Amino acid sequence: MTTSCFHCNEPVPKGTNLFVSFDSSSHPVCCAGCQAVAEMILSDGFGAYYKHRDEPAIRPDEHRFDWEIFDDPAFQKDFCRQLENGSYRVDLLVEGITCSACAWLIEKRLEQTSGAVDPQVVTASHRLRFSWDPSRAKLSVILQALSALGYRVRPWNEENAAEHFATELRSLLFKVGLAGIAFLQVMMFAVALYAGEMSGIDESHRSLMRWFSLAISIPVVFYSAEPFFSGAFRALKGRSLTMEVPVAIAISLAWGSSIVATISNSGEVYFDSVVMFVFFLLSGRYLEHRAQHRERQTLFSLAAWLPTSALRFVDGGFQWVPSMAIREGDLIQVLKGETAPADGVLESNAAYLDESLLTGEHLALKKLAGDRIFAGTINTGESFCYRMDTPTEQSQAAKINELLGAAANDKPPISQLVDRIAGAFIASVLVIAAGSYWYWSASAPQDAFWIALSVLVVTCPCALSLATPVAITSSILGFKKQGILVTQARSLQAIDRVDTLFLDKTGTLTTGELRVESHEILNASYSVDRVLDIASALERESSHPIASAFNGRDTAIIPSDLEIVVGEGVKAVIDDQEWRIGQPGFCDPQAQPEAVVAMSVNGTLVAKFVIADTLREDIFNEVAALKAQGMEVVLVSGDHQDTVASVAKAAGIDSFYAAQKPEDKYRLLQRYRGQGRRVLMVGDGLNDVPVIGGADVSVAMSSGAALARCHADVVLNADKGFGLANLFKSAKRLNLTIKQNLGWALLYNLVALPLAVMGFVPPWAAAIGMSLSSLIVVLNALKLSR
Amino acid sequence: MESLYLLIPIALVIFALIIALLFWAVRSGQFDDLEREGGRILFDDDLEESKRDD
Repeated sequence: MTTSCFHCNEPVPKGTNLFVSFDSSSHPVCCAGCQAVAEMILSDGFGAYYKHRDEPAIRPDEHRFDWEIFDDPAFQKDFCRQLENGSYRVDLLVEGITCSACAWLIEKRLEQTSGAVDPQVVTASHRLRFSWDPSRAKLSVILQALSALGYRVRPWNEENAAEHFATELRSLLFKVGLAGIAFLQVMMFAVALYAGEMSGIDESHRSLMRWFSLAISIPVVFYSAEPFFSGAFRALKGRSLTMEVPVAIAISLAWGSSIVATISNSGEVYFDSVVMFVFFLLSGRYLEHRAQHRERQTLFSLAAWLPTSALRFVDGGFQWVPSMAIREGDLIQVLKGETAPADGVLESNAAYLDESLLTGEHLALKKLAGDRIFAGTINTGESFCYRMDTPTEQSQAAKINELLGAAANDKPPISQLVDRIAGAFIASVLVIAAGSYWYWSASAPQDAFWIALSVLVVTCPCALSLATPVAITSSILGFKKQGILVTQARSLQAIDRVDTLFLDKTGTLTTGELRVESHEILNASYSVDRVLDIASALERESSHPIASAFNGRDTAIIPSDLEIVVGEGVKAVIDDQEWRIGQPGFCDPQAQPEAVVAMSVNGTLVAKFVIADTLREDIFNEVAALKAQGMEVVLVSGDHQDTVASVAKAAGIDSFYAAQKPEDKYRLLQRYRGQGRRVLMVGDGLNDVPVIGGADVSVAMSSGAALARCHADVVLNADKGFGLANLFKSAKRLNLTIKQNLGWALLYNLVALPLAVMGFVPPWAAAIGMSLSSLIVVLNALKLSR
Repeated sequence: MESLYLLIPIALVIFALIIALLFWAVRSGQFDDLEREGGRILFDDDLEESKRDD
């Protein structure tokens, strides 16, 4: 059994003897970094953090550096705003916040720090805001206190869309809240009025309740319903008829006629219907916005995937500085396992880099002096030095970002069924209402207004306009129970028309974890267990991705004289014999080069291992099910031809494209789309982001990159299996329900309209019909949430 | 039923008060971070205790 670290919950490496004491017992930790942070937290009296946190902490960056750059006034002006009393309001983005316990810890720690007043953390957006008094402490000193707890900060960018989004969400919440409270209040009067209608009510009491309903509905119509009016206005200005137009018309007509009825003390009032209608429509909007917000608030600027600190050469030595401080021409050292902070040219002789950020391929690439090193790539070998030659904004990583912007712009619009119906529907209703007014004003002028009103009310597009949003809202809730997070509700309707699936390999078809797929023992005197134990002992110290395939064995073997040979393998002495593991040529000079990991003792081969990415469970059945639905499934990967071919075969996919760079993937998408295909893309990496931005529908895995998640329409919970077939099935159900709803709403109108035109429907019956038709639509939609 | 003339205006005043309360709550950020609020009570209690232990 491996023990896990008290602080970060990662496994404690063998031979580590670090402990912290808490609650009168001693707990193991995995590294000095975790130990320092945990001791700091405990000695400050914040033990409650460990008791109540829901998520383990992120393993702290072990590098200590000063935050001097934050004392530079030119740098400060981006995130500090001077307040009237001379102090500053500081807004920072804190990395490493995992749950509300972190927020508490940060706030408490800062409250004890001189110079920082009234700290506030928003867990969801990872934002920290506090007032800073420059006369009491330097900003760098305050940040030092935070970094001692294992949190890193960078300036909060005001243009950050998350900020804007949060404000929007607040205003929407208020609109919903107002409509909801008003709804309860108006309903109470409405019940009294309905009861009065049946058993008789004093004229003055009826009038009183109508006037108060009117008063309560005023803020709902003018404030809560404002998005519908401005949306309708925009649509009309652009000479189109969206669903917001009938919504706005319905609200104004029903409300306007209720006012006329209240003032003239005749006819019927519909204040309850108006307020309920606004409340239902807004609730749907609010839920959809919150789901989007959840994904977007995760860090999604370029800086989020570059390291926070860099090792820069200054004054004859390397020093840790925040990555924000490095410039072109700086000599930068990247330690083993760390991420390159900028684009530049390699100055060391050789280096091994994992460029999965750009290519999706996780196996290391060998680079020689003079080769280009890209920001965001991970050093899988020994440390190396390179010179930065491109500003961060022009790095390859930044270009992926730009490509994404371009892709998102030409994302095909989703035409909604209801929008197509809406135009014709409104136009004909208005014509019919005007026609019946004209007809009746000739024969019965005193009834003409009320009949025309009945026509408008009875055909109220409430049911029609509720049909789609309530179905979507309720299916979003249903999806959530299956581990599917929908961020762009409109995309759910497009899923039904998808005919081509683009799948990424790593992280989508596979889990991204390497494992030993098969082994071949060449020397019968060693048992399989013994061989795997030795391999695991040898690879324990290595940070090469392949080494992780051998993890998870509990062995007591302690190798001595262990040496890691970059790009070759590992050698060590066990029981006085020299063991090697790695490239076949490294283990035995006579061995044929092969795509396997070899192991040898004293220069003779003992075993060969085939390492492979773990395929997701059930993927074959999932793909078969999708193909049975008539879907063309295409595997698109940045990986080598052979690997991609074998994964495609294992998953039962016929067509695949290997060695695809982000721009290639995007071009492929455009080609398919040019042929009239509707493409759904499933991906998880940054290299998929442009395609995710541009596909008809995009799906990201929850384990994937934050940038991929926040641009995807749907996020699948990776732990719960692939779930794509489920998504299609649920989307089909949703579309069926929408069609049922629309069908019902149209049918109702077709029956009621002639009756109203003929003057058979008194306004009160029209109001009941209207409410009832909406109710049926809502109830029909609710079954989707189960 | 004369009481209605008093009670209904009172209801309207209460309605206005609730709206004002909601407005204040939303404005002061109480709904910004819904995950956070549930845990708040646990933390502050424990901090007091551990300080007393010291």
